[in-house]
Amino acid sequence: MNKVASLRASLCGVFALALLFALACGAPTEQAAPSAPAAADTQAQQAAPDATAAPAQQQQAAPTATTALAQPAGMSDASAGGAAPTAAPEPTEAPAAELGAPVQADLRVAITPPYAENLLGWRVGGTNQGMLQPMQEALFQRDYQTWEARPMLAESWSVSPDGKEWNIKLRENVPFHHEEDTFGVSDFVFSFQLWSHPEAKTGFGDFWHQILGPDSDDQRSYDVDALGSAPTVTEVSDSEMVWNMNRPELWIPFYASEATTDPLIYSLDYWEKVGEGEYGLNPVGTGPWKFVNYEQGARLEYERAFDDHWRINPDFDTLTFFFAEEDLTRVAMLRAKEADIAEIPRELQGEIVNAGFAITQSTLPAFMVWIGIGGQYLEDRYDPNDPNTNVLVRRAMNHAIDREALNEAFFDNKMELMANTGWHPTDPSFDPAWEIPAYDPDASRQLLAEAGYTDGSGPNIEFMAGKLVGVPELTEIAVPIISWLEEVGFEVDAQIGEFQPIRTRYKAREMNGVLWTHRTGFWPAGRNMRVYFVSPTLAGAVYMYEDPFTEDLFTKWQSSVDEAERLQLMKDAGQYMYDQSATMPLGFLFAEFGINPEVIASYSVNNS
Amino acid sequence: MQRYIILRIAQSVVALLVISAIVFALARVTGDPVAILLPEDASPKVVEQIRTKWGLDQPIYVQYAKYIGNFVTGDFGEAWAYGGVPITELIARRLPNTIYLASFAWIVSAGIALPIGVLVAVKKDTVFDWTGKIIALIGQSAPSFAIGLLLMWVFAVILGWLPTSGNDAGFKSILLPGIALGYYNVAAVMRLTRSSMLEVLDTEYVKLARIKGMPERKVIWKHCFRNALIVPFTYMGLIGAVLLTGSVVIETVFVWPGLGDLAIDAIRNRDFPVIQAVVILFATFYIFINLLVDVMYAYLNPRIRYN
Repeated sequence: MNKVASLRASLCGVFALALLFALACGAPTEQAAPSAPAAADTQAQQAAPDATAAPAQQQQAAPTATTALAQPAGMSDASAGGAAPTAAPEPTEAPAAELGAPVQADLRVAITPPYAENLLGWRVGGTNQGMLQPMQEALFQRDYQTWEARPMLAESWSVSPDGKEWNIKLRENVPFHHEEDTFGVSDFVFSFQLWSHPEAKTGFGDFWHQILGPDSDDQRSYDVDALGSAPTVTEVSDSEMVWNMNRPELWIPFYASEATTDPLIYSLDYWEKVGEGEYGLNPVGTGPWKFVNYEQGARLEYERAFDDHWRINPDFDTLTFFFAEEDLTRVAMLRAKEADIAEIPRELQGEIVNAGFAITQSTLPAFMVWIGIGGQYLEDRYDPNDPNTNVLVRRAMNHAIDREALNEAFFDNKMELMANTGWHPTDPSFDPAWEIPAYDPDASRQLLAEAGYTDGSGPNIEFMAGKLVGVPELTEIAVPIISWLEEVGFEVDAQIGEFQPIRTRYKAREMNGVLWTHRTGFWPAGRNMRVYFVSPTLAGAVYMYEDPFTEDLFTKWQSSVDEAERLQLMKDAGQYMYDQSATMPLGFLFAEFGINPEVIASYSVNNS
Repeated sequence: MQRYIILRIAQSVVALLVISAIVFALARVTGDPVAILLPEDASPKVVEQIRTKWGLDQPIYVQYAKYIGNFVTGDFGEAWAYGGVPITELIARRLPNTIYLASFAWIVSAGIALPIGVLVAVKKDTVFDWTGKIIALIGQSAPSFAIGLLLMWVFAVILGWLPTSGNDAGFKSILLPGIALGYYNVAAVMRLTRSSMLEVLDTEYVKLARIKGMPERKVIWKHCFRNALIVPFTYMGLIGAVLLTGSVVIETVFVWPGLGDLAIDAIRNRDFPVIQAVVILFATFYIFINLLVDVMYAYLNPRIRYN
């Protein structure tokens, strides 16, 4: 699966686990209603100089606790107030149940195992850390309706006018689970050192380096004597610090949030007392759940950490994750009521519903599904003979496929169709005028003719498809897509199997003439730009579209501290990529889980 | 005998070396583990750092030589997918679970097959014989994972008597995976027992015992069964190795945290050091148990001598 990183990592893991984590925790009753259509740049707004966030206690106050037939979710109020995702399919209605005392003390969750298991999250990185989020917190959290940054362990923050100095006030008197230490600046710095450690497998490790400053190499040192102090962080007091960057960066509340999974907070005090080995066996954090037991490959057990946690009081006494690789095993666990929540593949969801269980889904999508058009290395590897570099051919590809038929046949119409890869309607830089490419084979043939393919033999292309966790349909949808492309004249060499060869090729920037189905996480447009649509020199990761024009816009966006300018730059980049048909957008998919309505009475969960 | 054992041990070492070379090469054919284990947005710099740390930047023969050098000293290396946990530690955690499951499955195989084998031999060509054959045929022809899922559905989901999976419900936890794993071997053991029993039942000394009026129960269990046991016993020794190494699918289906489950995870993650360690360990089990069976066979039947 997937198992796989997607493997061990794909974003599925984190989406799944954090979603479940949200389910496992009590709902914050007073969470501030999300404002406006915010999104990516709302964070810039949030981060604007002198903007100070309200104390989290006011925003996400007391736990509902009472759940029960529990109201387990942590995001219900937010979702109630937030803008519904466009065309979001309705979740299956669970049988109505009255709220009351919890019917049981334990919440049991059956999921596919993470790609890599280690209780020191920085050693396995990315989505594998999702299973640790019940136990560990980050500086910031994200509003899953509006993308706004919200306080977590950072109580308030402001950024200097040049965007290089972040003054962060940390929440005081937040104890770690070993209860001999409270969170402070040294814990943050220590954690930061772990995220950017040379052996760390965190996805943002290199990003931290970019922003650290001229002596950034020192940050990756692992000198025990230096733990807890760093030249780029100035300790104002134990609960206040100034974080210095070598370039403007307004998205710190995003990158240092639990949404990105990397920046979890570790206790320096505990580390110094017990050492790394013991920390890895009996980890601690500041979260609402405390580590109890872990059997590798089988289960991870938590219990409620505090009687009154500063952020969320869980509705259950214990939380157990069971790692079950086989889909049918998870179905059996749910049906036998050994699990209250289980990850159920789409093709088995009907059976669960027929048996009296319910399917719940995230408030926002968890996945973005699209087809990459390789070979658009418009600088150093530009090949004019590659059909993929011709915008007419790319438009022809986009009009050749029937997205609605795909949605109906493979996704039970649960996919929210996408107009421009990387831009969701909730993102402020999204343009409502963008249209989902229509299925029009005649237009497609006409475009190919205009591109010079007039003799009936269309461009030769390769089509690759491989399975990824969360969206196993990636290989299945390839079959009709190839058929539609051939119907309008493309000559397709298909390779369907594992995703690994695809990743190897795009990492090597050898995707000339290749199309491939891809599943990625759901992120703000700016983050998508950085990962998918810029070259290695700008710290891109999936090298499929490297255009000097958009790279220039991205560079300006990254260094700008003017909110309006940043928004316009991201809009321009999106418009350009839309006009250029840079990719073949397909749609957004939601995270879905089977639940036992006898235990979970109401649910409203985020996508992370 | 001594010479034979030494020769077999030498052969075993060669076999293990060949197996290790094959596994080492095949694991690397499946693709680059760095691309799987690092987050997608890890930069080329980080990728190179990790590749260097794991020695993947070196020629394959250098990697192999280093691996074998460490292996003979008991150092299996670190599990990449588990954030650098020593593989010996991983194996130490998982091996007892696999041995427990395999032992239970062995008992299931023996417990079902031997009595049925005796029964169908004694009641040859009766309804008992045909029923026994059908039971054995089902076990032999249905894949163990299918049997496992069927058992899970009936006894856990429908009846609710046993847990679906995991190993945290004590003895109840072992029943379904143990039966699913052991049932597959019932047919072969039963048929061997049956044919062996029929052969012994037809011997002169058994006829004499009956003529002398010895009770039938004593004839069958004391005189026939003990003598008929040598052939199935040899086979069951080999089954022990098969059960130890063949529990991969069952462990995955029943979330049984053993070596098979570890192997599947390692393959999924291209965690080469773990794959190599588990496969070589499995091969070692197999070779060792084969050797043990051969030696015990010779002791049990003094007429057998090896040259």
